[in-house]
Amino acid sequence: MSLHADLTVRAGTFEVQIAFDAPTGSVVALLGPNGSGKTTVLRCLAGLVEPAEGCAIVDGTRLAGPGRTVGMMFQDYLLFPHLSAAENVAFGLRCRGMRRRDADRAAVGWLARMGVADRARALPRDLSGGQAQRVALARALAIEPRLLLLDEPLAALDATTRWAMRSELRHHLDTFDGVTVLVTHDPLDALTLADPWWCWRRVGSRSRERWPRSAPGLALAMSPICWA
Amino acid sequence: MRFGYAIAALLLVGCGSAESRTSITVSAAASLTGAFTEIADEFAAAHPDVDVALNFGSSGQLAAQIGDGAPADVAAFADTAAMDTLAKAGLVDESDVFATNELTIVTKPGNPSGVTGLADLKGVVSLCVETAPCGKFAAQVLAAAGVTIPEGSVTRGADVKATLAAVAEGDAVAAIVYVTDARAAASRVDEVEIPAASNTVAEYPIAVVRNSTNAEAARAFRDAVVSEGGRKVLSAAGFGAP
Amino acid sequence: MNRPAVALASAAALFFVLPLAGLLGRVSWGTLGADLSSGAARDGLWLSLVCSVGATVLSVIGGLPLAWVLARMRFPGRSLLRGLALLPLVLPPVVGGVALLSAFARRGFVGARLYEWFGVQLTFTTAGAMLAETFVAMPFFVLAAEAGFRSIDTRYEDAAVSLGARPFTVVRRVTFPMVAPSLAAGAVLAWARALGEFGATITFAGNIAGRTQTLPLAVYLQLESHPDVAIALSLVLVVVSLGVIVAMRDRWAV
Repeated sequence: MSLHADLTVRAGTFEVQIAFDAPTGSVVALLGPNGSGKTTVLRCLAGLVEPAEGCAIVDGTRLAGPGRTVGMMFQDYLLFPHLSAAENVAFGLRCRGMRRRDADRAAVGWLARMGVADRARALPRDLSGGQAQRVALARALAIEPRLLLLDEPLAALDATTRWAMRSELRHHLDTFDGVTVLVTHDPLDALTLADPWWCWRRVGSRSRERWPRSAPGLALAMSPICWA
Repeated sequence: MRFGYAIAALLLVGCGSAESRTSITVSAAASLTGAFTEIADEFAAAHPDVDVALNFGSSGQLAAQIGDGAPADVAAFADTAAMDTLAKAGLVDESDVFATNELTIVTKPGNPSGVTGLADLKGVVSLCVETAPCGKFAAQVLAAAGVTIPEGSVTRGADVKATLAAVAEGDAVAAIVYVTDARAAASRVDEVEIPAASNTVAEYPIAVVRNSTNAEAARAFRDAVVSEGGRKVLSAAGFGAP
Repeated sequence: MNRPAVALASAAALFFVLPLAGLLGRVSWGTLGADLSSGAARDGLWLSLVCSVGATVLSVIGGLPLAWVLARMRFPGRSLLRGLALLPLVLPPVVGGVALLSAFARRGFVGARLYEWFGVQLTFTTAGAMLAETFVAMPFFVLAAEAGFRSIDTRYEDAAVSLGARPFTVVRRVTFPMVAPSLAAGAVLAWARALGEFGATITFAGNIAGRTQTLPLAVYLQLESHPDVAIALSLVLVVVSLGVIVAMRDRWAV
């Protein structure tokens, strides 16, 4: 299992170019300030937006369209508010044609693995931030993706919870055998969760429009903590 | 301060002009719409100090309004019964019949359904509500001709104008309305005469409302209606002489 | 500042309360049951129920795709389309009736074809009354549904797509459940509006007892001949309207 990505995506007025390879079991962090196009890249890998150019290849298969084996955890989790925690986790399985009862059993199993089995019947509005994050991770992992995408996984948590959840997330990522791509603005997240981290570096002008293409090769650069 | 004077002056002017004018409300049957509008215009020319407000509707409705205390100075109905109700309640003094009217059948232009008389009234027929004189008279006319139209194919207009509109604008096959209304809408409907044997002569009474605050102007308007000039306007509209 | 406001507010509140109190005062409670079960009243009640529910169903069927297109798609003339769809909200209903006549009457450009090809005549039929009510009621549903579609975060739909949901599944399991409260509110509003419809109905569908004479028409025409029945029917309409307001208070009383 490996990921090869070579993409150009357009978002509004700017364009982001990114190219990297990630081996099986690795966790890649895309690090950069808010509004630098990280989430757009992630949405592209998830198949929610088409790349302007290029493609992503997982295990030699080109990713195209939704329904592929990509699991995504969104920034504020986006748990369906009208569905219980278990129904949220079962959603992807049901979309893959699993019967309701089997999907529900598998969902509760995933919730148990995340330590929130007792909240299976709760609606998202009744979950704490940490619980919601666990349910969202369970929902993304339940479809057994080859590629796991995490968009600012810890940003919605308060400082204390974030500390605990960071190590818990690290544990879950260690047991995940696919490729994980993680987007964050927090260097600490990148340091603790990811193996290599890639960071958006701003070169030359500070205006956002002049980001990637106008400064070839600079959109992504392999270097640690790299913006001030 | 000067601004204050200006407002005071305006108020005085406003009051002054209001004081020298009187206004009367004339509640008249819908079938009188054309004729009374013309008479009111002539009346206004002759009495520049009087404002005439015309309130048209079904005679039954207008009588009910006056009974409920709606302000009206002159009442002119298409039916003596409606006027008798008001007289019994002591709301009007003596009344005069100033015009007569008859009923007729109207159809779409060109009479596409081939209506030749009351017996041909098939499909949806437009009649006035039974509480309006035109509805009551239509029922009399149909009874006299021995024709029954099932209620399920009768659409009821609140007054004679609405009843006619169901033919002129809508899809009703025919309507029974006053000769005068048929004549006023001659460009939009065709007329099929009802034989005199089964027709009804409607009598139009006019009266000054007893609690009128402008009885003098109200009497003047009534006189204008029954005068030579008024009669000329009415007969031009198709009304018969009393 | 508060005291004059309270005084004026009380006056405004009285303005709404007094007519209703007057109506209640005129109800002859002893004969209320008999008045409501009289022939004309029963016909009117039943017909109003049938027509208003039918109009609500038509409003949902037509209004749902319209609201979706208005909320989710960008195309030239969208504002114009919205304006047209909402026009009946401000148009005098009688004018709506005249407009319907010019299109769907036997001589109207659609009505003529309907009659010629299918022998269908809408004027003076219960279906026509339903159509007239739909004309004035649908904008209420479109307005509520469009606001509903706009208010939900489309990223939830992205989340569903990322989990492998097909477009139809996204709509059925995510979008609709999330806008359901707005759709229900819109349907209730449309129903209440249809129930109270007068002008367009009497103009387009006429006033035929048992066929197109709905509650408001019956109230208007019974007022002279059987005022007690008219008042009793008015009471029904007031109670139903009040029920709608109470049911919707959570949506309006923020």
